[in-house]
Amino acid sequence: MGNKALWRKAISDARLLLFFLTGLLFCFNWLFVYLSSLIELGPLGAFLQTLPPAFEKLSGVPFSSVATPVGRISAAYVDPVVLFSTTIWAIGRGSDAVSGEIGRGTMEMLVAQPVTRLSVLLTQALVTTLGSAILATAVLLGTSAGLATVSLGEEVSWRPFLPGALNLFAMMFFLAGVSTMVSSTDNFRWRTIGVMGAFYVVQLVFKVIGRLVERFSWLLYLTFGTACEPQALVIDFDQAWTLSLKYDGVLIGIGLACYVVAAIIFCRRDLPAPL
Amino acid sequence: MLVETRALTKIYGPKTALDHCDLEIPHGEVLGLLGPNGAGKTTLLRLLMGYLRPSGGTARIDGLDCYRHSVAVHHRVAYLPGDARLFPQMRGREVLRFFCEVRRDSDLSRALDFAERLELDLTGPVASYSTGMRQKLALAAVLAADTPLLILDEPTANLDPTVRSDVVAIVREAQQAGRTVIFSSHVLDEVEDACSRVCILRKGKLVHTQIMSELLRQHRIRARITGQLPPPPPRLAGEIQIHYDAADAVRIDTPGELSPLLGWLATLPLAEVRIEPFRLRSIYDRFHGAEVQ
Repeated sequence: MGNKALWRKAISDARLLLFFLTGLLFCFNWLFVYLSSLIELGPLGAFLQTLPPAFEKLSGVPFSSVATPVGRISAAYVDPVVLFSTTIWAIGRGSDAVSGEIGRGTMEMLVAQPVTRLSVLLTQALVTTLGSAILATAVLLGTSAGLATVSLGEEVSWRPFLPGALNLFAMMFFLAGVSTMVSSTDNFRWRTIGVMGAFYVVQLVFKVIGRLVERFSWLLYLTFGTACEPQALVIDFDQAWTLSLKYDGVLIGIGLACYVVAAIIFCRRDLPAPL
Repeated sequence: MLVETRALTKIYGPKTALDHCDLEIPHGEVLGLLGPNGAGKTTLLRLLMGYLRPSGGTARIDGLDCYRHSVAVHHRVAYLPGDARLFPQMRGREVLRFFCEVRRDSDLSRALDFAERLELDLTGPVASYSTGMRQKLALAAVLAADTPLLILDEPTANLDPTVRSDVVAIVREAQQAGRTVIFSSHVLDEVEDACSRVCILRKGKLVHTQIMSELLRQHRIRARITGQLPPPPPRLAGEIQIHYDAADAVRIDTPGELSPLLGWLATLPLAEVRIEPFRLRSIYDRFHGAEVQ
């Protein structure tokens, strides 16, 4: 675990993507605050009231809360830019853990050294987790920077956004854990990414159907999307920490279990010759 | 024994990649592994490295089980894979530094010396390296580790003839330094030059072990017959083998010293006599030649 060279390699593998995504998320959230300041709350509230009730059900937050300074900025936390960036990081890093190294043929030389397979996996997982924390912080810092520099008509604190950022971190941890588990069974990174892409879409469909169709509401128990509610955690600040404990606990708990399974599989499996 | 396998077997579904392999390698020996693709050479090496869980039998290095104690085993082994691929985002020098830092028995200055000897430019990123340059870089990284056992899986593949000779010389130097080497190759001349013992694998089975010093004592005499060939004297009859390749062509194989044979040869009605040392090729062809197929 204490091998500095492994740490340096893991950081070197991650730094380019991490640097780019950190910059993107920070700037995007700053910009989002600025753009939100340009939207008048009155017309926004009126517009949201015209939408069919299904939209409100689907969004998971009451529209009356969205038409507030905090509410409109909270939309950034479920914006496709943020969700895709964090998902790319988590799946990209998780898929690289085992099948990425095997696919490139570099696992062969790596595990020929006197290091345990567990330390190879753990170093990679810790750098991914650290990167996830940096990205979540970039989201929060972007929002905070926006709040500090943009006039919204009333003072808005950065504190309500903290549970949302934590929820994004938990989601990244979960997705990275599942990706690492799939990666540990596979020899091709593209296949791992394909499996994770399909998993993500299916989970999203479960969430949509579960929310829209009452008799399929049980599907909400089968999707991580139920515990991934950064916007709701920002808006419902009174309940945020109770919900955060529940949602983030589930995501981090399952993610951790996936990492454990990944470690067991990777430490026991045969390593194929470079393909 | 530094390396010891007992009934070592690896089965992939319906295919037996290695079948009850018994092998002992003492300290200081250079052992050659020969066989065509799919013979089981790489499977044997990967079992020794603990990459694969044996389907049966055991593999031990320095008394340690290769699968269960792979980290302790890797402290004793430097391994060059058959198709060595290195981290493409790193520069050549960074790769050497990485491997020297990841294992404490490795030395960067030694790695750099090997790189210089193999005429390798370390300034560029690995992604821009040719296959041969990557092979040289991997060799420099592996050779820098000061381990009792060196496992080289086709180390000269993709290298030019000059560097191939250097690699064989390096293997000999390793042996002189008291290290044990397992050398897998398709190039019989290199194996002949570098190894003190050779194992031939065929369809997952170890079919023959040849001590090179015994092979080098053997000779083959080819000649054209110009008259009636008399039977060999009793003292040689049990030693030599006479084959008639054609009505007027004879081949005499001698397993040991040539000198007792020379006097008798001079009395025979032979012309165009050629005496050649026995080569590994003739042993290899016994198991993998056209006649076997």
